[in-house]
Amino acid sequence: MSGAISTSEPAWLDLTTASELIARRELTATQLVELMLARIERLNPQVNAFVTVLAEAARAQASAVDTEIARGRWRGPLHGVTLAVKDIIDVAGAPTTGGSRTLGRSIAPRDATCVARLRAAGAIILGKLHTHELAGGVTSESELYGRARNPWNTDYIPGGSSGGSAVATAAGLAHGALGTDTGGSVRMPAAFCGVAGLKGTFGRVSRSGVLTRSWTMDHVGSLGRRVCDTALLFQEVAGHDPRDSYSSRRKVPNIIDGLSENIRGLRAGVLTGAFFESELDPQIGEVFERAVQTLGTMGVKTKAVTFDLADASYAAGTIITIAEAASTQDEVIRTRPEEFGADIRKQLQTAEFISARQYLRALRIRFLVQQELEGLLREVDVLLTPSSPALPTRSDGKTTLERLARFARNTRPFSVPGLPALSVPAGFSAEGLPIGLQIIGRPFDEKTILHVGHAYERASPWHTRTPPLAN
Amino acid sequence: MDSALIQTVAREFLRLPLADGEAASLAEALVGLQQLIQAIETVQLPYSADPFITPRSSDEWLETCPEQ
Repeated sequence: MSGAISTSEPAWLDLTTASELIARRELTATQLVELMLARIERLNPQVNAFVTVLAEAARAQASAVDTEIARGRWRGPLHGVTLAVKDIIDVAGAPTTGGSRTLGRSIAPRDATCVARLRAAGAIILGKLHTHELAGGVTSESELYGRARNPWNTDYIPGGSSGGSAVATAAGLAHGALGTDTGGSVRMPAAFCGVAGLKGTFGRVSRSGVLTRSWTMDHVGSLGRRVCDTALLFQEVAGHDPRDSYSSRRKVPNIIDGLSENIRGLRAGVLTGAFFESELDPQIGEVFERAVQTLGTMGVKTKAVTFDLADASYAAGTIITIAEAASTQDEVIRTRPEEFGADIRKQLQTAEFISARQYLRALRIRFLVQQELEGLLREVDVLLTPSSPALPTRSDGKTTLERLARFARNTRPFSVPGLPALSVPAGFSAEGLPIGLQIIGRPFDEKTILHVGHAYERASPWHTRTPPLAN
Repeated sequence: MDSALIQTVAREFLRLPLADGEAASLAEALVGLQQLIQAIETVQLPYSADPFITPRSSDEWLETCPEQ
């Protein structure tokens, strides 16, 4: 196939299909990259997902892919597909700004481990994506770059902090993306933008080359328009890395094989109780109930379960995160605090008032949370909640601990013990904004949550919709 | 905490510079922090609750991981 392609259809392909078309030379990587760059040029001004576009580097990569394919070498299902990464993850030769004036525009000397692994699989990196400053908020509003916009309605926030990753994926500006998730920063924007978002078990994916917000809470996650896309990305980036001292040595199984198997007989715990119900938007509650019913009709045995320490886990997670974030910014907050955006500056200053006793108490609560959830996950195979109890709001430029509390209420309690969790599209609000279903699994059992998510996706229509502006 | 006390603690104890008006705006944020702290203060901690069991990274934990 040669010459320009006339439709935007290839932009919406899943990773495997795109790569197979390239392997069969029915589509060249160069054509795909040119199409995606044209879409970014046309649509990015409306959604502000990309903060750096690496057009020439992407073209060079595409040319190399086409040469390799012409020689008969196909690296696998990421070969030639287009991806983009959150701007707190290093890409060699590009600035890592973290959406913050504090970092300047210093050029990363080498790829983060996760990016290097994607490149080794033949993926093409289109650019860097909008992040809430230093991954420290949920609205993806930045004093440096302005605000990323929800492609379903650009007046609304896309969630965050990996807002650009969710927006680019939802708007068909990349076939998938990497983000980071400390308390929900992949799952929540994925839910708000109508895509799938996966955070693996703590330690599964190296954070080497990724700006730190919280040493004991940060995870690298993957976003895609299909559950299988997030799985493919995860499969490629997961695995031990000596450059990350928290990296797990546990072997990563093949999570792709068997993804389409029947889920009949699996046991799912539906989280109930005041913590999960008191702040739940009724529209989200209805969508969640229908999603649980759908799983039930597929043979999943559901039962109500409670998580007594959910409130304490949420609070402990927030205290751990902001105390560690303040430590990472110890020098800057004392010497040039005016370079932070107002919301992050206030968050970091507030965290300075956390005592060592309180921080240690929060860490000790993690121990109890792990025990409680591991006990629950002996009774059931997965846990279910709405990805967020609240719908995205109109953008107003304010991130406060209270707002964090609302949007990240269902995600952060499960980040504290480092459990794997997936958000999948589960419906839409009356205003046309996406709603997500969160599936949480046992430590290192990403395969089961992906299995459930993939089965749910095949039984529901939500992932087939695209934002009107993106067509 | 009133803003004068916040300013004093920040300057004298934390060595944290605050611009004019920042201490007052921190007062509200500190109320939010107090609520979080209250939520963790109510949990009874056994002596065995080790703060340095980091999630999912210790070999000891892996050995007790449920079978998959």
